[in-house]
Amino acid sequence: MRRARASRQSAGNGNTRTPADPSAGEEWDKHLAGLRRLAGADVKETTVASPLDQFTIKPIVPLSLGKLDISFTNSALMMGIAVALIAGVLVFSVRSRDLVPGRLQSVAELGYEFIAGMVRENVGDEGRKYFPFIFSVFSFVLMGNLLGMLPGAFTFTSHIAVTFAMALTIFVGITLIGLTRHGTHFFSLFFPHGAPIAAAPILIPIEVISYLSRPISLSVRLFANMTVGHIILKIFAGFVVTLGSVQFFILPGILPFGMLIGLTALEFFVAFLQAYIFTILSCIYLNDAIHLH
Amino acid sequence: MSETDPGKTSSSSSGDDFAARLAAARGRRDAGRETTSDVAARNTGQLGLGFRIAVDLLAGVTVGVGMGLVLDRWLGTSPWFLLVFLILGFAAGMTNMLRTVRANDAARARVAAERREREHKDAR
Repeated sequence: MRRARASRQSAGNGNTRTPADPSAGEEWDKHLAGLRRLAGADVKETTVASPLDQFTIKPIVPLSLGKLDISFTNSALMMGIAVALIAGVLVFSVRSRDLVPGRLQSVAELGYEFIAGMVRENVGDEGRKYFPFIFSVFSFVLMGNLLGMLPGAFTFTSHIAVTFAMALTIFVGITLIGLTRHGTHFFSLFFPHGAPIAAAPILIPIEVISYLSRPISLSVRLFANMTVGHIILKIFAGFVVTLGSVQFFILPGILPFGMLIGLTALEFFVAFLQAYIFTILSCIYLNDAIHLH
Repeated sequence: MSETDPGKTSSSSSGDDFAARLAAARGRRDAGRETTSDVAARNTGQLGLGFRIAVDLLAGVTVGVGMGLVLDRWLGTSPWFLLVFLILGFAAGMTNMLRTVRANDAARARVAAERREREHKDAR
């Protein structure tokens, strides 16, 4: 309403907006009042929800096991949806078993070949039996990232608890694989070959810390990327509303809106890339455990 | 050239011949195929790499500090283990960073070499 009146007025003034013109000056004051309103007292009128609200975990079905809170939350719901979607799409798409795949079957085959190639290149033939696990990790992370891109959805990969639990499972599993394959010889991983024995007291702690830091870097990378991306999206979406409701026409809102479109595309790319990086690093760690350098 | 003569290949399609043709076809298939890490090297920008190595450093220091604090609490030697493991953690973080950057450089070099080769082939 107000904006419409403002634009009608400016049309009546014939585009003169120099403060020297008295009527344009009056309108200028109105714009300034709008800006002041933005910065000052009744900001609540135009600001949108906090960019961190989207990460709140809300219990849907409150449950508890003794003192432990095991409520079914929105995070758990999204994980369930992700698993159901992955299983549903994969089972449904290859149901017809066409020699020439249809659209959905192509997607399933593409995903399969992508991960199969990744395991073959990074782990070799011994990695073949771990393919189901690697494929599950990839599809779960990717589906979590992509589901988070739906408006109003919860991104479970934006929580360090989720990503660290996954990274820790992978880390412990890979360490056990290495230990069962190589026994105590596995610990030669902690001493770079060719280094002088005298350097061992320094090199071994460094290598051990470097090894133990793997689950942290793996989980922090995924969690931080998803969190930061979603916060930026929310902030720019807020800019669209606040700048669009300043009493200049709707024009200032268009700039952050354009940015938002670009950022959304970027965020889809990041969703794929982070799932990819999470998976390929798991492959590389698995390769280290199997081949010991 | 036997493969240009269709009559000859069909008449002499023994097991050996098939194995050779299969190997040749696999070679042709894999020659043009990029490895997954090549795709990553091409697609992740400098910003992504910067973020990755920053996390690598952070993870090393975090684990070092954590181990130092735990050892200090256990042995009651505060703050000596923390100091030692802070430095060791920093060194481990640096090692992580160096490894990431080296792997990235290797993948980039491979992509660049392949591109040069392809352009060279096209030019001929």
